[in-house]
Amino acid sequence: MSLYELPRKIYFQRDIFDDLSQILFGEGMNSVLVVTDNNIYAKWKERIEKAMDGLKWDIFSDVFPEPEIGYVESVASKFSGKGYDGIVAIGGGSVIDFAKSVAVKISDPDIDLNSINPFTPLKLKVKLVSVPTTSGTGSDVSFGIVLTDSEGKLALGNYDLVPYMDILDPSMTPNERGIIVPTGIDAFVHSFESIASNTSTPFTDALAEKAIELILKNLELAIKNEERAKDNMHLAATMAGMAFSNSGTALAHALGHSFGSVFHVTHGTSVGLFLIPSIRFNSREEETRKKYEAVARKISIDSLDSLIQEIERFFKRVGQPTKVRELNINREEYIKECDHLAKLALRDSELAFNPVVAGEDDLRTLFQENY
Amino acid sequence: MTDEILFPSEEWVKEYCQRLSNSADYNKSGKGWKDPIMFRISDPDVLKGKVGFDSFILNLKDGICEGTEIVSDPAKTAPYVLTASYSNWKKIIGGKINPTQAMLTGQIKVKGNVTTLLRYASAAIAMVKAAQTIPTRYVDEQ
Repeated sequence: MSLYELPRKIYFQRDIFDDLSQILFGEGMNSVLVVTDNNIYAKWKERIEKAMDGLKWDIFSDVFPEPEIGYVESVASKFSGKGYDGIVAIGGGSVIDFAKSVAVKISDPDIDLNSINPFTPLKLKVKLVSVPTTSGTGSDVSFGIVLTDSEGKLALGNYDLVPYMDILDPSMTPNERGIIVPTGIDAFVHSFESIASNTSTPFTDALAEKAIELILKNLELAIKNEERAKDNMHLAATMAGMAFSNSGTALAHALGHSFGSVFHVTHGTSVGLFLIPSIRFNSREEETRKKYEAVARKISIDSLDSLIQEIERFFKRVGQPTKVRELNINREEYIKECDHLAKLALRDSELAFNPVVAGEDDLRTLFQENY
Repeated sequence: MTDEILFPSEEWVKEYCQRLSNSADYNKSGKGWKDPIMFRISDPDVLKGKVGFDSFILNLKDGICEGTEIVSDPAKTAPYVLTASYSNWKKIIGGKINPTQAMLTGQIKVKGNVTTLLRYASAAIAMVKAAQTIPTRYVDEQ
């Protein structure tokens, strides 16, 4: 890519969240809307109240996973015209995406969220501040939003949606393995996809390669809640987010989005499931193969085949499936859906960044072969 | 050595259309696409006295190019219009700018249903790859 969009400031320190009001004052933000979900609010209610001390603030804490567009619009209308300087999103990808969408609607109540695209500036009137509470989605630094409408998932993007400020406080991250693994795998896949992307550059490669190294070294320890490992995972997820937001995600995301929406499997698990088939598919192109080999060398592995084996071993250790059958999905039911899955994946805009053109037949074969 | 074809020219547009239809990558990534696309040069003055048109339309359907139309009427349009400066079209054809990147940075201005266009973004890459196979000489470099 020839354009790099990053947050203006990134704070990275355990417990930095507790100084948030001072940070926001320092940025000229006196009145903010806090957006979060019920789980986060229940867990961190006192901490949030203390961190907001002295500011004029309102809170909305009813964000649900994969926010529905109509719901976003009705919530945004309640908070329009209140003169906020900023919106502070405290949560995972859905919360941050919700906050980005509310920022768009507050800035321009007439805009149709469906119409958000990378080509038309949005001119937000509020500063977006992200406080990610998972280590993986990259939404805290990315230009994307994932919402749902009556037809399913909508992946929208615009560079004006890159948050102004990112507060990385690993003490806000969960201890549950069921969240740490899929979000960590999501960041791992972001890194590989960013590197494979046909718009990758040395700038994004450097971030992604380091993220891969950190995730390989730290995810297992993070599952055991080792503090330093969780710190490193939080940073790695943001680095991977900065990488893919400035290059792209690719085939594994197109396949994973399609699979996840049909079989209702978590995003990180779904994209992880198709990482190895995507590496194999894309490595038929020499330049991409060389990029994967460069990753292998970074982690002291001598070939692409050995890198794939290393990923397989890593996935096994952390409990990330590599085949659809490991999710106890019936073979006949799955094979019957492969046509539909391929059609959905073919229309995923992430394919634009894949280095090798994948047609419907290629996608169907990739799905079928990964049972 | 293969004869180079002048860009922009009717011959180049027709050759492009044929190469798109013969491109396996475009055939598969453009499957399902139904609408004509107009390609427009935003600064036609650079072609003044050399070329009599600043736009052309490709009639694209299901991964095949069914025909072309040379456009000199500024009022003429199409369901999708991609507009860039002459120098940026040269960079895109020459592989110096990725088309997705060019759309994101505003070097190519997009008119039409952007949601649909984004769904066919891999077809855009295949289209550029097909253009790059044409031995091209440029009108300003003669």
